[in-house]
Amino acid sequence: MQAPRLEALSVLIVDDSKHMCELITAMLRAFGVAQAVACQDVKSALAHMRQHNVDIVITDLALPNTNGVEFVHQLRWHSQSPAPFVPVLMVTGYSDRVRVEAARDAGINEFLVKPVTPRALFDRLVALIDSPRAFVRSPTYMGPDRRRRRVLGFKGPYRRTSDGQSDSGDLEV
Amino acid sequence: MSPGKVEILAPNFGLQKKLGAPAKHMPAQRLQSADAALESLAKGFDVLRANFLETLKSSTSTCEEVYIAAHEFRGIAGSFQRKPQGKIADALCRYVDAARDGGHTPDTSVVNILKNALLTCETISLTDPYASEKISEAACEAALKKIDDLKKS
Repeated sequence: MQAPRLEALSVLIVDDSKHMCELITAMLRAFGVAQAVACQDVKSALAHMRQHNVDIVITDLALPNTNGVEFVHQLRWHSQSPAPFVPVLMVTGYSDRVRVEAARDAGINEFLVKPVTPRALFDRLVALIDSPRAFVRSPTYMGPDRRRRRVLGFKGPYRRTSDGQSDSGDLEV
Repeated sequence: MSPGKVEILAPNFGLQKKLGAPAKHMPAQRLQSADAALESLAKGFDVLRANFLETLKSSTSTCEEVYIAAHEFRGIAGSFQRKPQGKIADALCRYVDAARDGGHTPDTSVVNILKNALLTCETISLTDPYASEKISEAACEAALKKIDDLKKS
């Protein structure tokens, strides 16, 4: 069985805690990732992304000035975004529903609740790399398909009573 | 994009292609290496923890100093078997943030309650993890209530 060449992967870590950056970087390096760069804020992260190819972004939710959700929103929506489709893993100490949904609706791919452990980080990387989801572009949402479950026997185009109300039947897939 | 149009792009397996194999086939030794890497950072964390506790214990520490120290500590505490303490440090930061966002000065008595809870957890966490967990939960709940009060005021 061939081993994945993780050294080919370029990962950007965005966290204002230098200890957390150090921790994640150390884990990634141990996995074999050669390029793991840390930025302390969104501004420098975007500047880095404009100059370098980034395969995966790992961002904290609570960041100074611009938080992680706003960062992902900018990545997905901004016309000057350096990488609107880049897979994003959000790391956070908060697991309450409101924050998780906000992160999901901003277009993150995976969510990792602290504490960060090697196993948990690896599992999320595997999900990003081995099980990528379809990417949805709509007037109100841009990001990975938020539907993780496939309902057997599902017949209609919508799964929620509110789905499609704003689209007034103009759904084109 | 025309109004109402939804585009669904097929999943992109570009990263897997780039790696030449599924990521899940990473050799198990690398996961062990990551555990070892985490272990090697434990000394650095101990220094951070000691400084944080010193800041908490010191009667001359300002609220800002406590906040900065708690901010650094909260994120990584859980990775080094200090999850209850990390949660309290996080609650402390959230309380101070909420107070400042609302234009208030953080209430010293609330900060002190959290400081004391954290110091208690630190003393007992290794000998009585259950009690430490409970103290942390109670302290965080109290902080959340104060945050709610701030939001309502």
